[in-house]
Amino acid sequence: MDVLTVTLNPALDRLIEIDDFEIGTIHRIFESGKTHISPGGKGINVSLYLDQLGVESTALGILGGLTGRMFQVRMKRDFDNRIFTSFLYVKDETRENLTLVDRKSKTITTVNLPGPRIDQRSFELFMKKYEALLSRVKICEIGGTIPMGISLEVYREMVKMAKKANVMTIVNAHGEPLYHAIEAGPDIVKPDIRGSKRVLGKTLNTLDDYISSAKEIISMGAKMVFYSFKVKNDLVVTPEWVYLFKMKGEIKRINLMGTGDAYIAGLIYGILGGKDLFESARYAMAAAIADERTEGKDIGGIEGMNAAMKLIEMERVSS
Amino acid sequence: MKVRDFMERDVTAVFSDETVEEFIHACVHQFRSGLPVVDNEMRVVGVMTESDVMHAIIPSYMEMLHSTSFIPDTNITKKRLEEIKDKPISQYMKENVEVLKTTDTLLSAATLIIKKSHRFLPVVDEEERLAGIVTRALILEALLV
Repeated sequence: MDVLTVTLNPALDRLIEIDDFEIGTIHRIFESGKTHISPGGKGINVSLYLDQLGVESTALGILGGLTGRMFQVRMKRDFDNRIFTSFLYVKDETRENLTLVDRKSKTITTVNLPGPRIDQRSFELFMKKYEALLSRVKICEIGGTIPMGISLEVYREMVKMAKKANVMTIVNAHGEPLYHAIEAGPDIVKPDIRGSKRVLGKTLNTLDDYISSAKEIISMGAKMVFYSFKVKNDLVVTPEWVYLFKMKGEIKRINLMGTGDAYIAGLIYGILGGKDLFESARYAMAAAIADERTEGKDIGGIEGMNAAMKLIEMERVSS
Repeated sequence: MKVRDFMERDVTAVFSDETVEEFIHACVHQFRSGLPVVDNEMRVVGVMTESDVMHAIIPSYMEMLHSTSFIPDTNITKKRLEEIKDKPISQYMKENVEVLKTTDTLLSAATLIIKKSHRFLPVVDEEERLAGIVTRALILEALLV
């Protein structure tokens, strides 16, 4: 087992397709194919994509209530029991994310429910599980939101613990949790800027803003920083070089949900395969492109990722 | 068929310093009758089951009566549970338990789990770390294939 993914606040994602969606009316769905339920959350998604690439991982998370139980059953059933799991159970219900897709009017309406509140003792037990699982992996991916009751500084502690255990850390988060993670100097950072383009107190607009933000994160100890730049491009920065990975052709926009998680799975696939950071970044972008071109969380396996490789061109921006 | 082909890949476990009360909640939340006990490196150090708790709280002479109709007062049981709920499970768990390896065959797993009436057994990898669990139902399901 080489990889641990951590999701403090997993979600049961429910997607319902409703044509001509209208507020204030009753919509009856008669086709079962119009509703989809799947386990979600950043780390869970990364484990799911890794599975598609033939990489075993353990998904660690906090689940609660009957929704949590349903989540775990889904994990087992939907992924044919291939993903290793370790969960801490709490009383409150695991959160649910409801997405209403109206293909006719091309709208997406999302309702995100709150997750469980985690008490101090549960948190201590979770961290103990985390520490125990670190002892058996080479790479740890940490990402996503933090449930109520847990300090926003938790990622700093988690990165520190992983470093102490000689485990490579990849952080995919946003806002204050991201800031605290960066303080501990994780190996690889992918700031999640979908909601807000503010990172380390600065707003990112131009390419220079992105480069200077990535360099600031590098100066705090990271070995590599990725930024998604204008949807089609990725800025990849290490202490030695800065590259802009560009996607050739037009984006299909079939599905942009989870592409960031597919990106990290591709990266991990490259690193575990002995590729250097530059080559691993190519795998990362290819996995994200492959995911974007399919319905649902699907990159079409290694073949799908490899096929997307030819759509990437790299431009060195600066040293 | 090998154990790794049909085991449940869930490495949810408890630590020996968790309390009896925490163990009970963990079982209820996970619909399990017991859980593997691991150390700080995920090595299996024992197994804790609901039966271990029951044995600890029901007076030993009750086992000889073969009927609960003689239990004079269930408050005794409740009181005993109250007394042990904050104690670490290390005091009640079974140590030196049998485990399956991921490379064991279905037949050897079936023999062990059915012959010895285990409800479940932990599965360990080549480094003796918890890799999953096998239950009676999983054995039976695998035998159907």
